Amino acid sequence: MGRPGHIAQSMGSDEQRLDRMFYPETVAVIGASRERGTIGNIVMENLVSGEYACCAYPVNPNADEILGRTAYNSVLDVEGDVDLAVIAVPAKVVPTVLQECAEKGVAGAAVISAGFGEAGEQELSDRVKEIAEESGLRILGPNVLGLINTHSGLNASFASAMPRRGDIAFLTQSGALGGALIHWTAREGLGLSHVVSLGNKLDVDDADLIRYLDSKPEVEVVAIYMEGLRDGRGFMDAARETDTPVVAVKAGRGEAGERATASHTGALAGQDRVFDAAFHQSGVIRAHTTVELFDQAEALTLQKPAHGNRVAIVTNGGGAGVMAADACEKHGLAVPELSDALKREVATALPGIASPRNPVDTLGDAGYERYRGTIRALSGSNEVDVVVGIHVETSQIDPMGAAKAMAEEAGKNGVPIVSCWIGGKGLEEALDLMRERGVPHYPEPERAVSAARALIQQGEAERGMEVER
Amino acid sequence: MKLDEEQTRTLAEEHGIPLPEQGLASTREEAGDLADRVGYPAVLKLVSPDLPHRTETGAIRTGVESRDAALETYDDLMEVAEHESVSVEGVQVQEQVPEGREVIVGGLRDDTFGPTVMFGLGGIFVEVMEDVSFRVAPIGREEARAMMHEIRAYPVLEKFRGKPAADVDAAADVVAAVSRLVHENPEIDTLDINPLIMHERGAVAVDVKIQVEE
Repeated sequence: MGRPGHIAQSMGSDEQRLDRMFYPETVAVIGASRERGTIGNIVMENLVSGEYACCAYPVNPNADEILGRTAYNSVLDVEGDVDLAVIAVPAKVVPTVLQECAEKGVAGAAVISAGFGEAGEQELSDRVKEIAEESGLRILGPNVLGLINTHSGLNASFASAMPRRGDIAFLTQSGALGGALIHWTAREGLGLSHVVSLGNKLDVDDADLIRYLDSKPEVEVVAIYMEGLRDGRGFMDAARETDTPVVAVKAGRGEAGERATASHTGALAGQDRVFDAAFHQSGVIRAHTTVELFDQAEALTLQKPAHGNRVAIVTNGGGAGVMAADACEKHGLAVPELSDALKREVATALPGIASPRNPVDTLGDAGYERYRGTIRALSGSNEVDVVVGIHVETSQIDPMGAAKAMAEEAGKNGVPIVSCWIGGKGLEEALDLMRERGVPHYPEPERAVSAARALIQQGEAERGMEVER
Repeated sequence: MKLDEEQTRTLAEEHGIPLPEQGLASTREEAGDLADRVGYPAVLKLVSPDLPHRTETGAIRTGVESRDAALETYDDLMEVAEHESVSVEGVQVQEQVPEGREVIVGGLRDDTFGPTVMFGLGGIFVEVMEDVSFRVAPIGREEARAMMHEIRAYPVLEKFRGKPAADVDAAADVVAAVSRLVHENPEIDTLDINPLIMHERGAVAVDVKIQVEE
């Protein structure tokens, strides 16, 4: 993926520039504002109230001072190096500002400004792309929320909150959605390492970031919301090469191409299903909702990938087990009949059940012994690749028994566990234990199965890539 | 722009796509000679860049059993051409491939991913149900098999209603070949093998159409 004029530059150099964007020493906010509530003010506020109180410089020729700091007329006037520029000026002025950033030796610019290709301003858009190609300045956007790195304490965005710190890197083509999900993930207790709003993707794109984040130990999973890709094959290459799991929501059904109707193939062109194929072929897991995206991402940070697609369901409530089995079937996961030997072994943990089936119903009043014995037999059997452990709140037994059993057995024999807990306040202690011990937990069986599916698909992707290599 | 018969056939042969024995006749006599060569029963098809739906206009005649029948059919097809006011490239004389499972193998240039290959069971399975699978090209035989298995109607290709299973490997080889073909020729807009007829052993691409960008 050579960028003209920079063929000599190696990946190391790209990485260095992105490092300067995500771990900047100095940030310039071009278009900073004194007026509260404006983007230029919120970005400045976010930087100074975080780790960048020392080193965020406002640039605005129409002000002397912003948030107690001297305002410069141009980024060229800022003393010393500037690593990252956040730009919130009218679109017409952006190319000039970008030129100045390039001249200054800024590594990367996040262009919050809108009004480019998405507004029909093709010339302006082309000009921005040209500057990226000619100068080596990395450009994020335009039309972005900004970028966030919880590990450097960088909030170079106009999102009103910082995410919780964690190990999921979130890339989004929609700034508004990104901003909202920062609040949502925080409330759900999910931690993010990065939030990067990609906007129009004229320069920095999903593939660049997948490559960059591959080597970062603080990133366990890359989660993506996308609507389109400019370079589909480049994306596939980056996804194939990375060791980090990638989960993506691809939204927008796509329009059927206008091909001659004489071609049956042509009539089916532009199908969303080609994205299914591309993701499958490059080991990207496809989620279909934002909830599913983070359900799956979280599971991948907590449990190891599965070695196959055989699911065993263990439940103290029959109905929930049936729903889990239905969800497995719908998504092509196997819910195998247990062998006679395994049935006998499981039966020793379950009083009064001579011939346990899969889903295994432990009966309502199942505690630590029954859950542990059942799960242990299943995960040690070589007949099961993932266990879905379900507990429904009852008046007869303390859920902590089930929780302790699942916490102990998770991951043994290379069999990951995902859990589903249906109930209310009575489950809080059990859920705390799940969180503490890294067992993914969900309030409905379908979501638990979706998480199991991600672990299965990641296993398949890793084995597939091994074969190719 | 539709690629002509000869170029299409050459491209297909280069990629190892099995085609029926056939030739293009520009005269009545030639049609007779070719029919003798490919054997009976034969199929005669009017070849014209202006005529996409040949079955609907009577431009494909099957079950031609003799040289005389071939000559008569040639005349009929010329009448059809006049009636439809279309230009004539010639008359394709082809061996009549025995019945089998009809499938569609397609290639197209996707806006995001470029050369892409498609597979589906023929007729209403593709046209109405859109029961098709895709892969970004190029792929090998294993991935081709996997994409074939994704079709909901896949069981039709197995032992079905008293008929033996069709040769899935042979079809997978064609799918893989089409993927290589479109990958190496990105100026192709669409490629349709419709139908690829699958037998118990082997498969034959009875009709191949390629559209390239102007």
